[in-house]
Formats: sequence, structure tokens, C-alpha cells
Amino acid sequence: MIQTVSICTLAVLSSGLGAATAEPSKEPKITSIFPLGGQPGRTYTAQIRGRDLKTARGIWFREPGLRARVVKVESLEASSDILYAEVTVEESAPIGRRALRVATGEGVSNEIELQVLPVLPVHTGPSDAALSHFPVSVDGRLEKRGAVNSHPLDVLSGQTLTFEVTSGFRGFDPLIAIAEKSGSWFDAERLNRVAANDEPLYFPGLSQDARLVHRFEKAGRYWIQISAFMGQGGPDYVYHLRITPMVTPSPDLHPRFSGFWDERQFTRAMGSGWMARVAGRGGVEKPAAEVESFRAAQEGSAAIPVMSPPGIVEGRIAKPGETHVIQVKIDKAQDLTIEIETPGATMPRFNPVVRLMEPGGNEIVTNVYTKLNNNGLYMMKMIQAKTTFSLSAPGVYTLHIRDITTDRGGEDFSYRVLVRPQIPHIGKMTCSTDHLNLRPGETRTISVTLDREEEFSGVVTLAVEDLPAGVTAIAAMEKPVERPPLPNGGKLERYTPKPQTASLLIIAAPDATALEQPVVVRVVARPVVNGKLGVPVRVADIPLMVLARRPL
Amino acid sequence: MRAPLLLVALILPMFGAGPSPVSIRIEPRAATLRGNGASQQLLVIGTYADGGERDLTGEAAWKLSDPSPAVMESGGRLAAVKNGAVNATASAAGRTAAATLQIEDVQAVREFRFSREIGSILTRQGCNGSGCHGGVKGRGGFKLSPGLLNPKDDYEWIVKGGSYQVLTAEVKGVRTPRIDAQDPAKSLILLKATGSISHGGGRRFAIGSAEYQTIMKWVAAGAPYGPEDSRENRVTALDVFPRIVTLEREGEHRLLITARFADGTKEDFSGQALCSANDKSVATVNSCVVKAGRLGETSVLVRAAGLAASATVGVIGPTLAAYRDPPRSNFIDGFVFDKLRRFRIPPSASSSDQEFLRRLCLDLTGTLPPPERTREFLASKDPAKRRKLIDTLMGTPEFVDYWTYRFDDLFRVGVFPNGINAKWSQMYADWVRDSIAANKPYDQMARERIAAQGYDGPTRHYLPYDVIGPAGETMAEEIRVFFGRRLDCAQCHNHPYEAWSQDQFWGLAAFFGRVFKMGDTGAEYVVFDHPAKEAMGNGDVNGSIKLFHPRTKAELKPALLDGTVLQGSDRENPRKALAEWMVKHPYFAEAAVNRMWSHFFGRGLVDPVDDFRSTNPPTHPELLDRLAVDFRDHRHDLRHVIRTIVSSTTYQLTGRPLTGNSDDRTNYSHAMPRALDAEVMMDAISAVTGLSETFTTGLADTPQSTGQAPAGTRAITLRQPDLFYSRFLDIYGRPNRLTLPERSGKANLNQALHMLAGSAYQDKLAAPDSRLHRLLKEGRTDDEVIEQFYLAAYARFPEPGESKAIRELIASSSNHEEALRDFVWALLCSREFSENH
Repeated sequence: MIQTVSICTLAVLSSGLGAATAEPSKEPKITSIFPLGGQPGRTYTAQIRGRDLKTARGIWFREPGLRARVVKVESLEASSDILYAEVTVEESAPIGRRALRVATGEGVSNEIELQVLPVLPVHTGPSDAALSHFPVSVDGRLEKRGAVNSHPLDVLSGQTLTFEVTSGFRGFDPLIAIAEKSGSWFDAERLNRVAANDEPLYFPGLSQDARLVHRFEKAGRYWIQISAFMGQGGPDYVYHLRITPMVTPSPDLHPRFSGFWDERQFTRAMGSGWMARVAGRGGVEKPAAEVESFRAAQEGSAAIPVMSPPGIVEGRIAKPGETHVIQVKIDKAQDLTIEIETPGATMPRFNPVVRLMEPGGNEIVTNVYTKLNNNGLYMMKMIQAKTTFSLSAPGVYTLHIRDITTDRGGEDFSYRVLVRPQIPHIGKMTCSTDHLNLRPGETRTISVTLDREEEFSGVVTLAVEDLPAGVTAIAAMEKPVERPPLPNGGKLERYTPKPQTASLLIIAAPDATALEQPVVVRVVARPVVNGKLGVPVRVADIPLMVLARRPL
Repeated sequence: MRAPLLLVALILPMFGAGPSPVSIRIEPRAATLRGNGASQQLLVIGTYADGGERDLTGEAAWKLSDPSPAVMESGGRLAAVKNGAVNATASAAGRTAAATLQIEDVQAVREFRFSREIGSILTRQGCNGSGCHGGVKGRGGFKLSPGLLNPKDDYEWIVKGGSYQVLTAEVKGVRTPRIDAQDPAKSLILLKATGSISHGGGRRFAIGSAEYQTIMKWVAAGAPYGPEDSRENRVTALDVFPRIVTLEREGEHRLLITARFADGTKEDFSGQALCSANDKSVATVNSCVVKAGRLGETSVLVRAAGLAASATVGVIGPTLAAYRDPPRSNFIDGFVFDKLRRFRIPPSASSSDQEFLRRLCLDLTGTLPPPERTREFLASKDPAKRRKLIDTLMGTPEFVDYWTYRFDDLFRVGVFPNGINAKWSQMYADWVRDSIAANKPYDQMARERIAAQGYDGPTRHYLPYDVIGPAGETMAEEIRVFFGRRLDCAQCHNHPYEAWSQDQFWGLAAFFGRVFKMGDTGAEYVVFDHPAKEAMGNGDVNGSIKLFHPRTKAELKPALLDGTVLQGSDRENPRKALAEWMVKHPYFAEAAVNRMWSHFFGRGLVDPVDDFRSTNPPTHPELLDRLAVDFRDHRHDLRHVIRTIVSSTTYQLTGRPLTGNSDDRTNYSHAMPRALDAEVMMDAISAVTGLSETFTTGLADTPQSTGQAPAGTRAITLRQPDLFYSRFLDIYGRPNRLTLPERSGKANLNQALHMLAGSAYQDKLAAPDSRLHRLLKEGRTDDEVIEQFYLAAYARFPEPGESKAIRELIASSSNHEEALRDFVWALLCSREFSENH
């Protein structure tokens, strides 16, 4: 309660209350852009599909280097629209994914992705003309359900090509296949699959884009076939196929989470300044001690290294069944945290299990969170990237590190295990919306959830920066959700932070000036420890538009 | 005098023992009798010109080379007297044969063993049969292990008394011994068995009988158990000679039962075994002597020492006047045709080319041959064209498609069986397809599935309904798939008809007792084996990964069928050891080849294919053994088995039966028609009509389906059959794969209605781009249309009579196109189309 009150009392940066209105939303919604990308120095026409785009007045990019102009909007049946835009990619635009939104008279839309592509010959749609010079790219669309787009391809003997398909629509999981017309006794025209892949692994957060590397033993005509997993299709099912005459770097197997702080992922990078960054989020400028690096020994080794917190153990489970062991010397009773990073292979390929054994040999803490399901019948176990615990006695403990299976291992099964004293701090913060449209006199509420990590008990202030004229923000307290403890929840507190939610009321004054384009406002949090205000921590950047007053 | 002698000579072959044997022999030809009181049953077997054999023991005259070491008792039983060697010579039907017997250790008094002396009485008298005290719950509160499976337990129930309980190891009621040491004659076991007091099983033996005396003496001697059974003195197998018996009407044949011990020795167990016929109208058995009944075939089951074996008995008709012996292409034909000859069943002729072509295409690829290929094959004069066709078809992508589908079925690839996640079923399906395409050795496939860990395709098999399945069910499925055995009954109690005990069931189940999934969001499950002795967070909640015997409540350790407990590290994957043991076990290869055989003949050598048991013996045991050995010798190569089967003359026999073989359903004298599987049928209709099916995801009443298989997708290539809705496939028996599929192939009313009004028939016939309409647009004559559809549907040209009748039918119709549609519809609805024959 103290924390919540503190948010309410300390976070008020600007105020002003207006009457909330409840008019039917005509906010624009966009679903796809075709073609999916453009090349630096080029200007091209793109089709943006969506809803309520009739009053489109601009296209807004989060990052610089791209410009676009609305050419026209066509309304289709089923209340969908096509916005034709002239997109210019500046020469200096770096290659990669970019976010775009459409601004209409009813506000700013949701965000979709567009790509800045390397300069390659580009083809559009399936064609009878064979692709034979690489690199090359193809923009395509699966027009209807069950569609398979076939692109002919002429290759040389021994040629190795990398095929990468980027999906341009949320929910479109592309499948890539190489086929040859080798026929069959039954059907001389049969296209036979030579190789196929839809994505390296299926796992939440991983890209579903397809990639396939293939060496063609025989020269000749092949077909690249693009389809959707389970045969979906439709006008939004756009894709970009890139063919490169070499083995390109494998895609990052790490889940694509937001660029914001998320310390409970195996894939966050715990670089050399990790503890300082953690400390900073707790209002402390730098941690008390430096982190030393260690290497663990194979289980059964005569000499087992010894470490003291804070220390980071680095190694790899090179062979299946390996268990690495290191002793942890604890001088006094203390609260500790174990954090695990998988810089190479990660879940679900490499599933690191870390166990801390007391001097007597019993397991006292592990990164495996165990609970029973609601009927108490099934025990569930989940490995966690972080666990907190208290050691009540000094001594020499033993840390075991291995993969959860006994059949998996490899050069990329690398790990970093940090054992450190607990540092109370603000963890992950999330915002309930990614854009905001307001009419003069209107108030909108944004929920901000923040994780209190490692018993962080300080005050947190919330603020919204860069608000346009006539718009103010005020922090308010939300009624805490009363959740009874899980009956079979296990030691949940070891594996989860304490979340807390607060609200920000965004208020447009009755005379607030309407905006032609969205402006980006930043939500920030600041920890307050011992009465001292910490460094601002970004929560979210939100495009905001003030709309014209609705005619009476 | 000459005339009567001639008359006798003429009559004897007709009414006497029949024709003379071309040779006789003694079984066994050599044997060693060990210990005091040892004896050996000898059989005199006559071999006849037609290859048949008869038991001549009853009419044989015996002569021993030295009468001092042994004496010949009645019925060909030789009893040991002193150490030495003796040659026994038998004379029968004017011929002689000899056997050599070695007699050893006669001076050594045979140790008393409960199992041998008392247990064998319980077996022979049927006391421990599944219908009596050997049943699940026992009978009348008295429980014996079936067939003397656990003699120590039997001993305890007799000597200590008490009533057995199925669900707990605790003894029910007061333990009152079933023997009376003070007054042995008043022992309950004797009073009941002799009918001296009320006994539901009636009188099993008489007071004063040999059995009675043996039990009396045993009780009087203090009812010892004797030495504990050890690995060395355990009976490991029972051999029955002969495995196939042919009897003419009124004929008899004695069975020779031999026990093989773990130390390599053998002993005649004919006197300790219980023999019974499955079909008592065909044969009856008394003291191991089989007597013929009506014409037919049955199995004789033999039980002793907790084990079971069987022999096949055929009661055969008169000798065939002219027996046509078909050419033999490989070893399969030898076994099949030899049995046919013995059973006096004539094999049908070889199949026609069109019959062979259609059958082979459907069996190897699930695909009908295109008309132009049919013309080509039928026109070819190449004598090697069948072999070449086999090679060609096995190299087609359709072969991979089809066998992937078949193994998808067996391995239960589907969204719901694989974690309720289409991506996961796809991962698993890809693994199956890659394995088939690469012709991965079957033992490797088995290893990869049984021991699967991590996030790979075969691990998804362990996630039915997105949970880890119960260990017992999982194990039972692996055993059923890879061993062809059903252990399920033994989950709750010792198997009532088999030698499977509850301990064996749970010992095997314990290999799967530590299979665990990591994750709880439904999208990240990693399958692993939880270390037995590591908490890994267990201390946080009241959870346990230990598996307990449901009856004894003892903690279970992984143990193989022979009781060997797995010795391995706590962290090892125990399923690896299990997989290694399974693929090397004889059951593995025989189950695999039997499954393949079933595919091509519509029934397994053991049928159903996953119900190997002593009460369901193979029709051709030697063939099954040989196929299994051949499979192992060829590195568990499935394609090799397939090629061997389809190259045999047996497979290539016609489906047209002869008078003498039309009743044959089990001896492969002619090809049996088999209903096409739903998916194959769907694809066949699409092929004939020239219109592929559209498969969409979602339920029938869902207006907007979310996905659609690419145009031209065949039913056999659907990897998520439970997501792609098809009324046709459901009606025709597509299984949901939630349990091991069992396709019956039986027709039903829904199918009949669907033929009349279903879209698979009507829409495809009426569509403007169907094959029929294309032919009409091309201006083809009726004869050409008729021929084209005959080739497409039946892989043959129409008979002249058929063409004429169809032409007349068309001519009689006022609507030419409709008449042709009716003709095609009739083809699709015919049995010739819907069956593989």
C-alpha cells in the first residue's frame, strides 16, 4: 500500500480533468503493406490494407530514413480499404525492419512492419520467368486460401542458395519449399519436393519467417514454392522472398521480444555492465562489487573450482549428458540471485538446469519452478532465467549446470550463470497501449505495470514527457487485483517478481489543438530510494494524436 | 488263395492306414535323459509321397539295442533305468527308423521341486487355467497363477491358505492352510480335487490316482517347496512338435512337448503340460494326443511351467486328384505352398497382368495406375515387367507419400494426439516422412521414437492432449506397436490368458515413469526423463515422480520382461536401454513383418496384427520366423520386406478362387479382396473423375474455414487429418488417431447414402472440368469413354459383353450425358472399384 500511495502522491506532473466521451471508434487499423519493403534510394508505390483509412492524411514512420505520401484510398467490400502510398526510402536508410502507422482524421493507427532491403533485383509475384541471377528478391502475396506461389529458378550444379521468406502479416506463417519437376510414373508433370522448411523452430516469440539453405547437386530448373502453414491465404498474406548465393548467417533463434528491459528471458545479454544496469534501476549508481568470471568443471573432476558471489560462470554443455560443477563459497547468510543467460542455443533446444546444493548434498534451490495444476494431479516444471533465494548459513555450496535432457549438447549450448547478491530494483515495465488518439476534452487511461524485483520497496514515480500543448497527464492509483494464492503454486516468489499496476490519465483540454501527424510521448518511471530520485527509466514511447473536435 | 490276398492288398490302402509312407523317422532323433525317473516320449512319424506326415507311434514296434539302460513303456515312452546309451529302433508300415538316447545321472535322486511335482498336476488338471483358479480373481477364494507362472505364490496359497485380492497384496480373511499335515488325506486340496466335498470345478482326479498319491506324499513329507527357482533351472521356452499337424478324418497325432531350460538343457514335458484345442469341433486333445473332428483348422494350446506354446492342427479332406504346384519365386512361396499341399488346398492361378497392376499400385502407392500406364503395361511383352514395375513403383514419390501415410496412422500423427498443436504434429509428420523417404532402418525409427527426448518430432508423440500420458498406457502402446502384443490387461491384474503378469507390466511401464514435460504454456514443452533422485524443484510442492505398483504399493524400477532390473545412472534416459532391448528382441522383427504382411494380404500371419498371444498363434509360424530373420538380416529394411512379399508368387496369385479353395481365408491360396482405406478411396475417386478434393480446416458447420490444403492435395498426404474436415473420409472410416487406429473396412449405411447423394460422387461427376466432360468436349466416342473409365477405375479394358451392355444402356437414355454420368457413377460404386483384389 505504501508504494501505491507513493505513486499517487509523487507522480503528479501535470493535471487537468476532462469529461471522457464514448463515441464509436473509427480509429484506423492497418493489416499489411505490399510490397513488404523497399530499397534505399528508391521510390515506389505500396498498397496498405486496412480499415477506416478513408480519411488518411499521412504515413508515419517511427524511425528516420523513410517518407511516404498518400496517393489515394480505395474502399473495398467488407469494410476494408486499400491505401496507395508513394514510399521513398532514403539513400541513407539502414537495412532492416521499420515500423509504420497511418494517420487519418480519426487518429493514428496500429503499427505494422516494412523493411528496408538491400539493393537487389526485385520481382513481383509469381512469374513464368525463371530467376537465375542471385542475389534476387521477390515480393509476393498468397491471394487466397490454399495458394502455393511457385517461382521458377535456374541453378548451376553445386550451387548453394539461401532462401529467406519474410512474412508481412501477423499470423502468416510462411512455408518455403524447393521442388523439381522430376515427375513420377503416375504423373510426368509432378513437382517433387527436394527440400522444405517453415522455420528453424517453433517457439513463442521466435520469428516464424522461413529460411532454407540448399545445395543443388544438379543444375537445372527448380521451383521455389511459398505457402502458408495450414494453407491460409488472402490479400494480407504478403511476403518477401530473398535468395542469396551463399549461406547467410542463421537467423537469431532468440525470441524477438521488445527492445525494452526484460530481465527474465534467457536471451537477454548480461554483458559486463549488467550489474550496474540492474543497480541503476534500483536507484543505485553502481553495484558494490565487481563481477569475476569462472569456469565450472565436469562433474566427477578431481578439482572443483570455487567462486564467490558476485561471480559469473561461463561454459558450454558440449556433449549430451554433461553436468558442470562449481563450488560457491558463502561467507555469511545473505539473499542471492542466480541469473542464467543462453547466448547461443536457447529454449527449447538448450534448456539449462541450474541447481544449488547445500554442503550436505541436498538441493536447496534450482531454476526449475515446480507447481501442481489446479486439480493437483499434474506436476509442472518450468525452467526460469532467474531465481532469488536466501542462504541462512555460510558454507561451501555446489552449483550444478546441465541441460534438462540427457541427449542434447553442442558447441552452441553455451551458458552464463551469474550468482550475485540481490539488488532491489524496477524490473520489466509494460504499457497497456501502443498508441493514443484523443479529441479535445477527452480523457484516456493508460495502465502501466511494473515489476518490483528482488524486494524493491522504493517509491516509483511515473511521468509522461513530450506531451503536446493542451494535453496533460495525471497518475492515479488502480485498485489492486485480489488474487488468492495458488493452492499448489510452489515457491512462486522465487521465480516471479511482485507486479504493481498504476494508471496514467491522459487528458486533452477542451481547447487542445488538433494535430495533423502524431507526436511521440514517452512514459518514464523513476525509482526513489532513501528519498533520492533515481535515473529516469523509459517505460514506453507512444504515438499520440489530438483529433479535431467532432462537429456538433 | 491268390484272389483273397489280392483283394486284401487292394482294400488295405482304402480302409487301412492308407498309402505306405515313403520313410519313417523318430522324434526326437537324439535325446539325453537326466536323473532318476527321467523318461522321454518318442514319436514315430511317417512321411508320405504327397509331403504329408502321420503319427505312426501307436502302430510301431520297438526294439532297444541294449535293454539294460532303459525300458520302453507303452505308447513310445522310454524310461531311464541306468546310465548308458541306447539305440531305439521303431518298425512301422514296413519301414524302420532309429533314435539315440543317452541316459545320465540316474543314480542322482531328483530334487523335489514344487513346480515340477505339484505344479504340473495343477496345470494338467486345469486347476490353474484362466477359467478356474488361474483367473484374475481366482475361484472360490483360491488363487493360482495362470499356467504356473508364479509357483512360489501358488505354494503360499496352498500351504498357508487365505484369499487373494486383486487390488491389494493383503490377504483376505483368516489364513487356513489348504493342506493338513497331520492327516494329509483331509487336506482341502485333495478333498476338493477328488470331489469328496463340494467343488465347483468337479472331480479333477480320483482318490488313489497317481496325482492323488503324489500330493498325499508331498503333504505327508511336510509339504516342502524344494530349492528356489533360479535363473539356471528356469524353463525359458516350450517347444511343440509338430508345429503343424495335418489329420485326416478320424486321425490322431501325439504332440511332443519339450521344455528348454536357461542352462541349455531340454526335458520332455509332455507329461506335465496341459493341451487344449481352440476349436473342439475340429480337434480334441487328451493327454497331448490330438484327435480329428470336422474339416478345418484350429490351434492347440500347450501350457506348462507358466509358459504357453501352440501347434496348428488341420483336418484335411481327401487327396486332390491333380495338385498344381505353382512356381516358387522366393522363400515365402515354399512355406505357403507346402502348407497348402499338406492341407490339400489348391492354390489359384497367377493373377492376370491387369489384376497385378492394380493391386500392386494400390498396395505400394495407394494410387490407381493412370490409363496410359495401364495400356503400356498390358501391352508389354517383357517377361520381367512385373519385377520392373515393382522397382519402378518403389522409387516413386507416391510410394513415399503412401507409406508415410500408413506410418502416420500407426504412429498416430495428428493435432490432438500430438499436444493439440498443428506445428507439433507437423514436426512429428516430417520425422515420419523423412524416415520413410530415407528408408531409415525400422529399428532406428523405433529407437528414435521410444527414447525421444527434447523438442524433436518424435517427442511430440508423448504429448497426447498436451499432457504426458500415463506411463502404463504409453508403455502398452509402444509394446503394441513394436511388439504386436497387448499387455493392457496386465495393468490391473495378471493377464488372464497369457503369461503376462502385473509385475511385468509395471516393470516395463516404469521405463516411462520418469517421462516428463518441461513447460506449462502449451507451446514450449520439452520432453525429458526426470532424474529419479534429483528433486529439481520437487521440494516446493507435494509432487512425486515415483511410480508405484498398484497392488503391492512397492516403488517400481524399470524391469524388462524377464525381470532384469535396469542398472543405470539416475540421470540416464531409461528408455534408451528399453529401446535397445526392444529392437533386439525377437518380438520386434516378427511384429514388424507381420504388420507388413497384413497390409498386403488383408490379414496378418498373426491376426489381428497387434494381438500376438499363445491363444492366437500364427497361421504359418515358420514363415513368420523366416520373414523376421530375413528382416533382421537386412538391417530392418522395410523396403526389403515389401519387395520380398510383392515379389512372391503367393502375393501374385489371382483373386479368383477355385472350388477347393473358396473357403480358405487363412492360407493365402488366392488373393482376398480388401476394402480401400477411406483416404485411398477418396483419392481414387478424384483420380477417376479427374477432380481433386478440396480440404479445408474447420468444422462442417463453420462457415469460414481458416485454412485450405493446396489444390491437388491428396487425402493420403494430409498431415493433420483431424483438422481437415471431410465427411467422406469420416464415413469411410478415417480414424481420429486418438488411439491406435483399427480400420474395419466394413461397409455401412452412411456410405450407401453418400454414394447416392454425397458430394464426393455427385459433385465430381457433374463438374464441368471433370474427366467425363473433358472427354466429351474432345469428341470421344462412347466406346472410347467407356474404355477410358474402365482403365482409370479398374485398370483393365472392358469385356466385350460389358461394353455392349453399357452401350445399350446409354442408347436407351434420352439424356446422353446423364447416361454416361450414371455409367461412371456405377463404376465408382462397384465392389471392383472400392476393393483391392
